[in-house]
Amino acid sequence: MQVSMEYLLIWDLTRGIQLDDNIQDALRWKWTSDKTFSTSSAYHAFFISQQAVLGTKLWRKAQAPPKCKFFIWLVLHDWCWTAARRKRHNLQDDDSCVLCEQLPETISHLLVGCPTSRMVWFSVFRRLGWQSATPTDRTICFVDWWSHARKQRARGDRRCFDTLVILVSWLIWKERNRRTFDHHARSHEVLLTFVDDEIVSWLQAGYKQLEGYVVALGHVSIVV
Amino acid sequence: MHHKVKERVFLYADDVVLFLAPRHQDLILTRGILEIFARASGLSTNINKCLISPIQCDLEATVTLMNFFPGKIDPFPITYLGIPLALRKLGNAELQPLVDKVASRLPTWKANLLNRAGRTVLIKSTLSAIPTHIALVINISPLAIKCIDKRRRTFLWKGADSVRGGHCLLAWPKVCRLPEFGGLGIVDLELFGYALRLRWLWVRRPDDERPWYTLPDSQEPVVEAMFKASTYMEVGDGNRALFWVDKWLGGRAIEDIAPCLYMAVGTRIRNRRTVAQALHGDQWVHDIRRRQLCRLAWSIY
Repeated sequence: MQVSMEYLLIWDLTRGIQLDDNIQDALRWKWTSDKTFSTSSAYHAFFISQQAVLGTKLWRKAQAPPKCKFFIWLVLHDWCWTAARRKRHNLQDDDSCVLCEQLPETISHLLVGCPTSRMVWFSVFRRLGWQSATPTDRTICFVDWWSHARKQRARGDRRCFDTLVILVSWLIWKERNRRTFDHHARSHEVLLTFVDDEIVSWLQAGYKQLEGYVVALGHVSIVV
Repeated sequence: MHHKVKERVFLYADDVVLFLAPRHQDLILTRGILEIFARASGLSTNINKCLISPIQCDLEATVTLMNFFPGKIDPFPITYLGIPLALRKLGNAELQPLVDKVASRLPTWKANLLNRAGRTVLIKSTLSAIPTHIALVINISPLAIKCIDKRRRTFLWKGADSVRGGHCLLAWPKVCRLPEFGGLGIVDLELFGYALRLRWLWVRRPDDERPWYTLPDSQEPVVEAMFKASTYMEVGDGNRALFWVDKWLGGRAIEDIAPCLYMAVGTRIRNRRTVAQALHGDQWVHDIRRRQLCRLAWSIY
């Protein structure tokens, strides 16, 4: 039965074929727009079925120094040695967050859930009038918050927002490391001036999108 | 010598490779040709600089060869144009120089002064690029890839000689994914090798006048399958597309549309019958072997 069905099918399909003697048969490559082979397209084709990790697109677009981006890459994969992870691996008994000393220190908690870091986010965003972007006590996931808050910003502000997110997360992580390893805590005000200084130096290093923030700070003379 | 191999001379830049059978006649003739060439062009062959690599020659044949060409014996495995060649499949010992080459880069870099982002760039641009030339031609053995990956992984996470599991924050396959999917975009050497060698299948066409077209080729199942999945045939005059095997019916092959019918066609015909021939007077109907078909039909019931 199947054989005869197939026979009829092929019969049907080949009926309408018209050969054109002026054109030669040509082999075509599927993965490039000009239909010719390229090694990079072949390499990419091996990855076709893969699922992207959440937030990868944001991370790729955002502009920041490579070492900070590398840190954010680890955050996206949820792979930083926070207290909660260390406890899970039986490396320490206490997994409370060094910033608030209340909840388990996961990376999302550290960056957006912790009251201390939320205060930092609020103070930074207030300068630009973006208070609504501040993570709330219901924010659980860093990537969710980032992509969500980003969409609420005007298109022109998004580059500035992305760079700010990376910069502030990086500094919160540094503060966490400082408290964990050096047992030396900065007060909120000191931390904030540290953030402001860092933003000014990033702007001087060529991250032009931060100009709006520095103008709001009042450091107009520094703007290059 | 393989009966399909017609080429006896290979030239690349100022290198010449001659393939000879160690028979008296052939050797005398070859010497004569070289001498005539030397007289005509003034380029005489320095026999002492020539290397002789016997391929499956017994001692007697080698001695005969040495009488005519008293050069240096250089038995297989040898390196030609930077690529290790051997009579059998390349073992790990032949690929060790490649691993060493990658490893030799590391001590000169001050890894501790670089952050991980900087080391990623070095891995992508240098360490991953070293095996490209060899991977283009031969399938690098899994062990060699593992050794190279070990160096790359250690350098990325620690920048030191050895690394423990806890230092490697992310599994290596995840690091090797494309940046679009959440990796760092460091090349996966195995897949990269496949992608590089797909190229040979692409450039190997009968209408192209490449002299090596007739040479027998080693076949890799993954590469062939990928090539099949990535290409299709656009039919023009139908003289090149094969009716039964090539994907010419709207990007699909008869093999996939009608697998049972395809089974009833002889192998020789499958690999010969072009679209033009098959459609002319419905020749393809005659290609189907009735007896085979009956047997197939019975086996289904």
